Amino acid sequence: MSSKSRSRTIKVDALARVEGEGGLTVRLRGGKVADVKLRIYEPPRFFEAFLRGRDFREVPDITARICGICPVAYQMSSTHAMEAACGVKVEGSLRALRRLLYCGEWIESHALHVYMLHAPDFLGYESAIHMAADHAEAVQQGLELKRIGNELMTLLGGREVHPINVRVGGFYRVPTRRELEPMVKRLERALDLSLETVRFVAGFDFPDFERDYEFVALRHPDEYPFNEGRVVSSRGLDIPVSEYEDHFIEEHVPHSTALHSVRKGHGAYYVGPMARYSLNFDALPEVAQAAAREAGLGPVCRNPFKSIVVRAVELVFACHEALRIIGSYEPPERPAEAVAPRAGTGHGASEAPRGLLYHRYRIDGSGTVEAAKIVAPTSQNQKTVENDLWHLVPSHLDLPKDELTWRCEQAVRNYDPCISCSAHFLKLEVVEE
Amino acid sequence: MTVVIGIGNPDRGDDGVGRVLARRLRALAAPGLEVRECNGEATGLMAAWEGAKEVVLVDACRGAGPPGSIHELDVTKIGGSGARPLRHGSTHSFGVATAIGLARALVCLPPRLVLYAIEGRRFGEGAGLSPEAERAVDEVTTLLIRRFPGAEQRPQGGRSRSAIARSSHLRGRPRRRRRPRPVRA
Repeated sequence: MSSKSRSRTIKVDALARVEGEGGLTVRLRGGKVADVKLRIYEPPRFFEAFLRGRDFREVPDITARICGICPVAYQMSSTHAMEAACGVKVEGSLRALRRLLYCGEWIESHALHVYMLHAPDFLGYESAIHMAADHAEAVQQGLELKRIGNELMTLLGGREVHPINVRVGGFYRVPTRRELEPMVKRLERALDLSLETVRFVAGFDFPDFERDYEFVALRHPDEYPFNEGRVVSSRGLDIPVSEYEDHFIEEHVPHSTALHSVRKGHGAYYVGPMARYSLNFDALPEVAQAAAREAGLGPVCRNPFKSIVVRAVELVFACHEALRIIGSYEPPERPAEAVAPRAGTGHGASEAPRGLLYHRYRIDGSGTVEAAKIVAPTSQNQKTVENDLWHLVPSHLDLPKDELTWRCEQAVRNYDPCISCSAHFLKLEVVEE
Repeated sequence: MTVVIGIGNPDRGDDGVGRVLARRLRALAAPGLEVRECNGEATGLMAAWEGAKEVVLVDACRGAGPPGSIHELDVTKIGGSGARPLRHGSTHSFGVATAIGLARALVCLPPRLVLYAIEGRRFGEGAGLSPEAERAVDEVTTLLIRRFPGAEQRPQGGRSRSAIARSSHLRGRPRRRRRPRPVRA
């Protein structure tokens, strides 16, 4: 009996190496994919609801609790939204320090995903622990990189998980030049490790798989995006952050407690490192561009399996950017700009390690939050993950059950899904009817 | 020098028992004990014990006895790769077991690593320690001061395991040898 006419069920109860918990079901009928569902079944976390009634200054610390891997993203998007609502723009050294803090988060998050979560897929190991026995040097590199990212987070944020030093208007305390100085050697080391990371992952075997995604990311005229820019897409969208909801909507689907995002009239889109890179390659420093070229990447990458290389290139960028910021750092006159509340709505978007993170808040004249909306990168990517599986599975139906299942899991991990942020774990089930 | 690492989330009731113990031990300034704290994330934990020859971990656990009971595990004397929790869990389970498994695979496990796991009862936000966990903190604090006086103060040849057992403050308490299950909030 051929594999196309045979009924089979492939089920993985626990897809590992993702942030949070969820599941995936792939249903096959007559040798064709009949349905794909990324199931996120963690209870909704109601952050948007319980932010209502809170003081606007509390929001960065509350939203930081959404994620232990990317708390800075939540702090940045929320502070920018609040500042926009209150008519304040943070510039100069404070703005640079925010970028520096974001560098720390990208380094620790990307190092975690590249080495601990994703590399084992390409090298054929179940986990980083299994991989460590044969690739000890690589795993050590990943751990060292992550540690340096954590050190930067701790220095600026007070601690590496859920930093406590960010406030609307700036920081509670800013570092002196002397305090930043020791990070220079550490970041130079991290830059070397990042370049080595690009070479390491560029040598992996990648499935021949490309799709014509609509990439969506921030774009800034002068810099690779972290906190600021217009929302642009590879299909011509170019809007200020404040118009985000005019173009993107969230839909409820029965199989996910995280809302699915689509671009109105266009459908699924792609956020994350590959979108950022493909829309902002020209804004990367030469060292990162050269590393990308050496790894065989062009200015646009459409193979989601190569997102691991893009993440490595972004590690190079983040280390280089952190060194640049520290090199020109002049402590600001005060640790934060005064931000007086005023009634209004503010929008903020920043580039979390996993992609565009949009926040919108409405506050009253006393600064009490009346409404909140948070759109996380993983919830924006859910439909695209499902679409990848629709396209990927048919060309791999002849694979043995275990290998097909593994390849599906790997395809999900291409997105470094942070299910915790979007609502949390992944169960994978492939059913052939 | 013995490094004591208190693990947990101090804002989640008994999950913070290791952190409470660390702070108490630090306040006592016990000679020969260097006290550190960690949220329990695997790579952070590996960094916290780097370079130490003798390490004591104190963490909360659940499901291996009544609240407040204390489980002792000499990690350096047991096998296992710790790979299973990593394979079958999300990054939310990148905890003590992962750190031990990874360090063992990378041949950088401290020469001696002892885990004390304290059974918790309540893990709610801001719940504070339960009376049972409070009592266990007192017991383990006393125990650590007695049992890990630091290498430089230790009689030549160190103290044998049987001597440790004889001096144990916990004599008479059931000594479970089953693998404790650290709890991550």
